[in-house]
Amino acid sequence: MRTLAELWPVVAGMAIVTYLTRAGGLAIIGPAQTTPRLVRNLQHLATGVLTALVVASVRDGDAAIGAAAIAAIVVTRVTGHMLAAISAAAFTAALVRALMT
Amino acid sequence: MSELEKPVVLTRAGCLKGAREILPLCTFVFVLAATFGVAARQAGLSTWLASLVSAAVFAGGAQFAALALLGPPPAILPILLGTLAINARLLLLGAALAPWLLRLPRWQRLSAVTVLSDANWAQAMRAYAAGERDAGVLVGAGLAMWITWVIGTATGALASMAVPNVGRFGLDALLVGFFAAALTDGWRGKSDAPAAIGAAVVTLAMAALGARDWSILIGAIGGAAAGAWSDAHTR
Repeated sequence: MRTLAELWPVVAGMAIVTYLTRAGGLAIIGPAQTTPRLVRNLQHLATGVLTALVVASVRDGDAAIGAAAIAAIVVTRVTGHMLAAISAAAFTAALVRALMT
Repeated sequence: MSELEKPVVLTRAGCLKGAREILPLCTFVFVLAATFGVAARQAGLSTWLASLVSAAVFAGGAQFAALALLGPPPAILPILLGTLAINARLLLLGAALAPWLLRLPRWQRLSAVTVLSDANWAQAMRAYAAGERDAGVLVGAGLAMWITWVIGTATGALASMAVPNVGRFGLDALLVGFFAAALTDGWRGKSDAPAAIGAAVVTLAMAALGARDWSILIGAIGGAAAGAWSDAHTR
């Protein structure tokens, strides 16, 4: 089990970085500086982060994790419902493992 | 008096109004938080430590992403840079609130953004457009979501202790399910393809080169660069 003594820099650092992004919009970026180009680049960053997380999870997981990712993508496309997609991912992973054993 | 000249305030009544209006969405927040609680237990966090993370950070995407990098040992710098990248959109949300919140005393506006998230921002902006000037609607909704987020995390973490083999029930796939669903939900079509392809290629290449801890962060930056490059060359 992980301890706070080991993880406090992570918890404190994440809390500080997240607060700075929340307050930073007021302090640094005025509405006049919020250009369409900045918005697009931030959107590309979000796409990049999420893609990298999916690819890394699939790379490090088994076949069931890969199938779960595909199921989540398909269910989100069809239903547009995130919770349904996450549930489908868990169900698919369980199903694949049951079939493989 | 025009809408812009109306005085900006932060009242308890406004907070209660904001909390009431966001309650239906709290059901979704609770389930997602419970999912995080389960995933956090998977990553070796105790129930109280998972709840502490939710209370201190209150940012779902960044919290889920950090679990993938917790090690041991935890990859601290990649986690923090990843948190910055995932939450960078909050800069824009805050900027959009500036005309409203900058008219509050400094301590009030710096406190108000503590609970800023996508959902209460959207709700507050709708209220602002309709003439609302009580920033309590933002704060009250944010507090309701924060409380729900922490309780949901604790509930999920406790519930997962009752399941001895999470892999058998597919619970270890919740994390990748969340990432894949969030990616698909925000997908804007062909314009996102260069960023996604770039991120995937760089993530795999970095791992092949032995830099697994950094592969997600550098992959994300590579994807963003590919997206920006594509934008510049298709205009």
